Amino acid sequence: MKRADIMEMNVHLDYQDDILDISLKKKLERLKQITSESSDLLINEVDIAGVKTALLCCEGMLSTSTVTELVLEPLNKLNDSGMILTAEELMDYLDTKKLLSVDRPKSDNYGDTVRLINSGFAVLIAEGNSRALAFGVQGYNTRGVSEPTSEQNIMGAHDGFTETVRTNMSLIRRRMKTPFLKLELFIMGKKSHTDICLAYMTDRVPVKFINRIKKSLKSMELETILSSGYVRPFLEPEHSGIFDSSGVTERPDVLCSKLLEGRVGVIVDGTPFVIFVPKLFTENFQTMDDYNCKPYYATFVRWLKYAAFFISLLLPGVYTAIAIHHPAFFNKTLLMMLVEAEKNAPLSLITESIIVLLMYEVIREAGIRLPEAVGGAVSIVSGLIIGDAAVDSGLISTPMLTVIAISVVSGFVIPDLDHPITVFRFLFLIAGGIWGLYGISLLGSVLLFNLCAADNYEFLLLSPVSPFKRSSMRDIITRVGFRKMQSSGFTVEQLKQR
Amino acid sequence: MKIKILAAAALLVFSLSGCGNKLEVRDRAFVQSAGIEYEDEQYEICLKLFEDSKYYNGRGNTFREAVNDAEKMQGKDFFTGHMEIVSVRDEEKMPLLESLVNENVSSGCLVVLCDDPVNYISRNDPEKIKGMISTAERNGTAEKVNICDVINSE
Amino acid sequence: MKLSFGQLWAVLFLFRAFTFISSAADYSVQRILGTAVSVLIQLFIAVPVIRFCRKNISDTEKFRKGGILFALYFIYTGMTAFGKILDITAAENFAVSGKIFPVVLTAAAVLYCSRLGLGSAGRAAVVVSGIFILFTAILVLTSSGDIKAENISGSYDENPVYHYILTDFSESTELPAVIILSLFTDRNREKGVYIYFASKFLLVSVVTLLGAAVLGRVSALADYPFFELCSFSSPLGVQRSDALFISAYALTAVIFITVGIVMSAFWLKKYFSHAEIVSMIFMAAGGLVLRGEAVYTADFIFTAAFTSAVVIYLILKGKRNDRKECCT
Repeated sequence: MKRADIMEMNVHLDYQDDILDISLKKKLERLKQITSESSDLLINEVDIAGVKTALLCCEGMLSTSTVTELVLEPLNKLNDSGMILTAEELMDYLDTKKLLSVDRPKSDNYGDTVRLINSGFAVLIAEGNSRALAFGVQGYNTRGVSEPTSEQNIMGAHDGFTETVRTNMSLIRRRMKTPFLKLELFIMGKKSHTDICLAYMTDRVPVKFINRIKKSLKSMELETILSSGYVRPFLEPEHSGIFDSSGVTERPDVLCSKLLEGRVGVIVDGTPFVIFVPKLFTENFQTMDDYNCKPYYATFVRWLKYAAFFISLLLPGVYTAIAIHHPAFFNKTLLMMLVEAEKNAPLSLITESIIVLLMYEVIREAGIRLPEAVGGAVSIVSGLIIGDAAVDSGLISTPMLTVIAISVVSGFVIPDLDHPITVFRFLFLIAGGIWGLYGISLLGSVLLFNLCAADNYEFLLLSPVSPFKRSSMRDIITRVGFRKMQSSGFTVEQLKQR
Repeated sequence: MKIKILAAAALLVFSLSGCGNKLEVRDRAFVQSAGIEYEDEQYEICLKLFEDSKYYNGRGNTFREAVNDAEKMQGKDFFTGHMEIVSVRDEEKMPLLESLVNENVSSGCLVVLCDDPVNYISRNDPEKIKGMISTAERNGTAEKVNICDVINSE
Repeated sequence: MKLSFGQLWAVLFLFRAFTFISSAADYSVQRILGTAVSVLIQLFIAVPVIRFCRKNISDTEKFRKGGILFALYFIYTGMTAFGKILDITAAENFAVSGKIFPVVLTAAAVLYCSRLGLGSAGRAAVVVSGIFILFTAILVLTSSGDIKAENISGSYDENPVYHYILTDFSESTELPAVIILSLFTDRNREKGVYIYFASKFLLVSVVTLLGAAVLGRVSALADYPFFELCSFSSPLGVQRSDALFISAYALTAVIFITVGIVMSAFWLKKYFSHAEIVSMIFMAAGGLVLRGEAVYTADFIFTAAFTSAVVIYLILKGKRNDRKECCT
């Protein structure tokens, strides 16, 4: 890069803390330079009450009707009134005597001014004054509140978070009208200046915990924050384990239930997925629907999920291990069925199972990435052609396909654990195929130790199972009824490592 | 970090290279019944497999050696873990059945006592033998015993 | 490095479970009686020492100088564990068998696990002990159909009760660990130890009784009667479920060796920077050398020797602390 280009870049980079010039012309020149005369920067120069001013905004980011009604009309009326003021008097008048919008931040430096313009504020600057007044008249296009796509439920609410942080804040506030709910806004990301909101209950979360989270967030030196995935690694331990120690949710009711338990929510502007910290391993098996039905049914479904987790993770590996190394474990009929199916199979059992699993993963990924119009073709190709033809040709045996299908479908029951299950399923398969049940057990013990060692902000991932806390197990082994739950006052602080 | 990756890679390469004694399902034949005799300090056996009407004879100094000898005729590895019937002579039953305890033969395997176990197994279908045992037990004419029962009867 | 009393119990229980599964001793009434007496003797040795240590020894850091004895003990237990793994993987047709491969595989797993510390091992032990108890319950329930009261009798090898007292004592290689690990337990260490002795006796006696009733004389003939008993268990109509207990065995083995590495490394850190690797190498190498059925006499001698050495060391240490406090 040429030196002149670098110097020009540095001019842009160094503007953050520069105080606004007194001269309007210099201010405008500097702002044009910082924004590289971007086409969406609208500059409206107008005299108001005898003062040369300029109203700056970002095209498409504000609502024309709102700015006209709240800002332009009152300013025009001011002009029509014939008042003559100095720059200082004008700014004071507009700041203290007129309420042109409910959100009225002020700025005295170029950094904040540019950020406010790019955030959809209408910013007023004047000749002879180094202040900038901003008016909250945002009106950029946003997605409306709709049902979350990643977390389905039957009897709970059907609204979900959106990409706008302030909308998300309102969705939480609507459900938790207590003054103990605190929503703290930060700006992170050197280039993106993304709004991040910390949500927590001041009567449930210790100040020390909040400070640690703030410290973690401040340690982020990212230039842009485009999704919650950028922030999550900073809220988890540096050498994070296999399973997530922070969670995400698209549902306001879920987040509120987490906040009530003393967790902290992190809302990132631009993504509907809100992070909450800490997350315990057992929460992967809990859904909001559990609390909308009778305890006996919820308990049944919960145990179904526990079984599904082990089936999804272990079934292909255990099946392969037993078929190759421990055939005595099968009863006679099952064994003969397996022998018949594998008699003419050209591939070894491990290879067959790896191929089928890989095929499934490719089809699944294709199903997510393909446009909707073509999506139907995926199911036809994968289901009928690949599945049917592969079995009929003898390339893959029916028992193996059945086992993989059961394993995969079981994984759908616990979507939160999809990533670790997907990877470890392969590892268990290889371990089982090569080293039998002994190999699976060794890998399982490694996984167990990793789970037992994992902690986030001194909250152990496997609590309350280990370390065992009997009073908290009632929502793990069963789904305790609300009459019992209402008096418990459970918070995660009770599970903290001492 | 490099050492960990190298160690993991070495372990995986060694394991996947086929150096282990991994047998596929199709490389195994599953023994359903066995007749065992002991003569001239040698085991003489006759084995019948699941879903195979043929019988396979073998000889050896131990039961395992005799099984390995019988495998040569069939070409697959014989797996005795699923064995359902073993036939021995009454006078030889104790030492022969005791020798089977650590030979990957289930102690719940049914025992048939007869004078000529090798021929008995070679001539009779194992399912038929099982049927005969069940019928005899129902009629009260004979008792259904397994290896463990016979060993404990002494 | 601290354990709760529940974790202490779980670790010790699994230590004993591992040696019990690996045992070649037959199942008979004498064995139950011998175990009862042996447990009482061990209780009378361990509890007073633990109480003495609770009053006189508080800071585990003080052991760094003299703890080479404890490190040697845990390395010895690891060696015997690797030796037993080699024997059992060969005898019971595990998928991994051979001269060194089971050791290499197990060593890789335990090395990772030991890096995570004693706390993780304690927490994992709680989970594994739950799994083990569940599997044992399955074993009892599903083998109960094959119980024959006439199979229960005295020792088929005509061994007297004192033989089984010595057998249990020599299998209880965790006895010094009972004392040492209790020093790393904050509260209720005696409670954990009492529960451990009770559960140990329960495990041995229930499985021995079941084994005697189901296997009878076969238990004296089998190389490893526990696996022979498992072959009679048929949950869900499977042919044999001894494969299920391979998993239980592997899990207990990992806990057994991991705790050994963590504890020996605690003292070896003074001499070696990668103490866990060094411990593991000593254990694995020793296990390869020790391969061959554990001779009860040798196990008894080592267990007795280490127990005596640990008890004497701790008493002397405690008395020295007493004198220091008197003089200051």
